[in-house]
Amino acid sequence: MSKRFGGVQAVRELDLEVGEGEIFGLLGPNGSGKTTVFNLVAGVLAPDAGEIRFGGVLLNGLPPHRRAALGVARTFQLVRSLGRLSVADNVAVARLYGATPARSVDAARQEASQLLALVGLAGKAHLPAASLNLAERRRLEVARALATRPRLLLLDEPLAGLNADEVQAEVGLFRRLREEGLTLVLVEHNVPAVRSLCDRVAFLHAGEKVAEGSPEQVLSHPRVVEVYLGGAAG
Amino acid sequence: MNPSVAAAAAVALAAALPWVAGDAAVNWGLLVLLQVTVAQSWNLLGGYGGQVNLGHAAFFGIGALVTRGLWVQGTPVVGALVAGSAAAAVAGLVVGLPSLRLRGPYFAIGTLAMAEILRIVVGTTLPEVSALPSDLITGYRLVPRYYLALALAVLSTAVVWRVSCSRFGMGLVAIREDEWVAETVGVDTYRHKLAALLLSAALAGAAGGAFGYYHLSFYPQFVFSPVWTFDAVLMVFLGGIGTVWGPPVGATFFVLLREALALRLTELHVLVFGAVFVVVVLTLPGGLVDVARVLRAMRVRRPQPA
Repeated sequence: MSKRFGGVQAVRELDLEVGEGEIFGLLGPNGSGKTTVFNLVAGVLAPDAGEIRFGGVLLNGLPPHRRAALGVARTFQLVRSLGRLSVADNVAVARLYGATPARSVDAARQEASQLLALVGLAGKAHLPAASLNLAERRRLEVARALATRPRLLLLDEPLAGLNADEVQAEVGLFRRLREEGLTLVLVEHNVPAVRSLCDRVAFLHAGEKVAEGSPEQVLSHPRVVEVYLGGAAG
Repeated sequence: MNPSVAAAAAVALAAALPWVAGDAAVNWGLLVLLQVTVAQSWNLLGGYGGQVNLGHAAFFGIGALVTRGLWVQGTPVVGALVAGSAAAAVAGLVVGLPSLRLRGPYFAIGTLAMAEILRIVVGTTLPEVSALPSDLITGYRLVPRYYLALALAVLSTAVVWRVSCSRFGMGLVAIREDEWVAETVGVDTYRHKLAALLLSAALAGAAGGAFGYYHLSFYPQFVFSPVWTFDAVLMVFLGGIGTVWGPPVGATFFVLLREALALRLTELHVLVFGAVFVVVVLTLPGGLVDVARVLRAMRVRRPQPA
């Protein structure tokens, strides 16, 4: 798939395939097109060329809410919450829509509190979402995305701005989600976390795929080393 | 006091008014109840869905003219009112179908433009005052019109209450808070906004219909005046935007204070009113329905005497 913004080719003839139950990492310097890939898959942007398929279904042309109903969920790099709603209702509203919606508002609120317990926000359920700190809001985004009952979860820099303990907690959560059968794709700059978490990674540079494979293979690929470190050295 | 108990008491009080008070008080009550419906209908889309409708007067006006026209020609008033309400909903569809597809100010601009165009067109094509024919004036009774306004006020408040605790209402509020997030979790934002607009326009049209049935004579242009829009916005903010009980509280406060001030201060009342509005919005961002909560918070914060 390809996407151009004015004169900038954000994604150039990129070909990616993620298997069911995989944890897949997208790496690359800022501006390499990682978030654009997410936006193309989630339906926020339409590709100029190419196809996006999800479990055999062609996603091209479907609005984001239809993709959510098919089981695609995402978090945002710059966290977004429904600020004046309670933490619980942020999750409950997602539980009422998405792939397999709850049957009633009450049922949705009940299931929302279970999801909040899963991400460690049970004690904050009744606070307005705007009162949470960054780490809490990132976890709220994950709970909200999970509430849509997705098959594919797109995580845009879920570890950015978190301290070491918080990163550990998130990595553990993502592993558990995979064990439950979820497929995860994450954009992340935290190399140690990517190394320990991802089955496969792809490295993007200027919208093109430079390398793809296991984290070890990709992170030792000469072009990757050059782009990550060579800029500073040269 | 429990809100549902308070609401039941308010409805009982309103229902008893014609039995205990004279025509002047019933007339004031009718204006309050009419404005409850106008405010509540604006609140549904603006307060819950976050979509700013600056042309609400158009729906009110269409409802008023259609209902009055049909009723004067002999249609039973309920049928005429349903037709007026439906006509307003159709107008909502016409303005909403293109403008709600876009995010940003397009809907506000679109509704404002529609209302102003309609006002000017009606003003030029129907310049004569609309007065009731003499046979209808002979049979005119205020009390049934009062009860019609009461029924609509209860209906619109019940609709907003029902929406506020439904899946649809949760979706609307999500749209108000962040349209992208709403869409991402699976809310069909376009359809939700459109459905809320249709409900809102139908209720505003019904309120207009009740006005057309109530008023003895008015210029057709008057029911399209932007005043109907901006009064609705003021009442919703005064009472509490995005709440079930804000619009009834705001409408009562607004209409009674305005009438009382207008009697004593004539044109000067607009100035006083502006000041009251600014003070309420600054001190009570949640509106008058928030007063109890704010007072409680103040009492807790006040240090205990030693």
